[in-house]
Amino acid sequence: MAEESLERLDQEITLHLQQIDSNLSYCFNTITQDIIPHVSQYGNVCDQVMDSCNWLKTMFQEAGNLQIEAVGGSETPIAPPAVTNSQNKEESSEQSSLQTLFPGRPRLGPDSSSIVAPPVPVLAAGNERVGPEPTTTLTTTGKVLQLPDSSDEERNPKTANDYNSVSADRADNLDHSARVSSAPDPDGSTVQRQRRKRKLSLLLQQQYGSSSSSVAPSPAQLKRPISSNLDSSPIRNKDSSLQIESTKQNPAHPDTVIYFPTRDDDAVVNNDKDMTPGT
Amino acid sequence: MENPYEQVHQSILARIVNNVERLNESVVTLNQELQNINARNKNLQIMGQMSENYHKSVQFNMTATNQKREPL
Repeated sequence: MAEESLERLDQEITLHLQQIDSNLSYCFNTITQDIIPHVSQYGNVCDQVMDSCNWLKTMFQEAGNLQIEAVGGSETPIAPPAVTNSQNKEESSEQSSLQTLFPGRPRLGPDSSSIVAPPVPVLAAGNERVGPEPTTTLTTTGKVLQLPDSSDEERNPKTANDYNSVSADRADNLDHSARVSSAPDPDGSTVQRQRRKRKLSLLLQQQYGSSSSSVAPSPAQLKRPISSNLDSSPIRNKDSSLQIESTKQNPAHPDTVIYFPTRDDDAVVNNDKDMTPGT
Repeated sequence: MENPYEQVHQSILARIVNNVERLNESVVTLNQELQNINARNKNLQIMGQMSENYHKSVQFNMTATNQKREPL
């Protein structure tokens, strides 16, 4: 009896071992032959999607005066935050870390920064204190962005009421930044255009009861206080200036996507249309 | 008496170990692939978030300024 039972047990053990072996080999075959190729295909498709949507990234980046380049490498810190906050955090982190990039295109920054006075000034002030002179690449970024707009606005008495928040101490920095920003632009006409558009937008704002600046920020602040810069309509209004700059800057900056200027133009046209009926 | 069974068991166990090693390797490669894809998709995720935020802000502003119209 004992021998028989032992033999049975041995046979059962061999059977089970064989089953285990076959299952393992089945798993291996499935993973190697089925799953991995499909996953690689999925990766290719994702790459294609990414390429197709790259212009979106560029558009938002330019519109928000952001540098999302960090996304590719060190996204992890930026990505985790909630949808609303992610952009703001990116902005702040980028302004602090990626300031070097801004000097190249100082024009983009000023529009948004001037619009959203409260959040930007703090960053700019901190940057200025750290690096007072615009010539320095890192610290200037925040300043440069804000300066051109603020300088133009200061020149225009109308804008003063909206931009009272901008501190006087910045004025010097603004002038420096304005010079810096103006230097890269090949055409001096762009500056004039920007001023015209800004004046128009300012007039619209006044007649609107400063609808663009006041209305847009309020919703953003209610729902997402930090992200107001990106989402708020004021940025869009300012985009008009951005368009000109971007279009002119395109030859200078090969990196900028061709789509962007066209999109901006459309957006600007829409903005103008939106604004005109109200007035 | 038990020798033959022992030999068979050992051979099968050896095969199992071999299979487990291969399986482990393939799983590692699969994990690497998935990690790469995830890293790339974070860009898409962020762009989706931005688009969503933009949509919300546009809707709000259009509604606030009475510029909102029905879709054509």
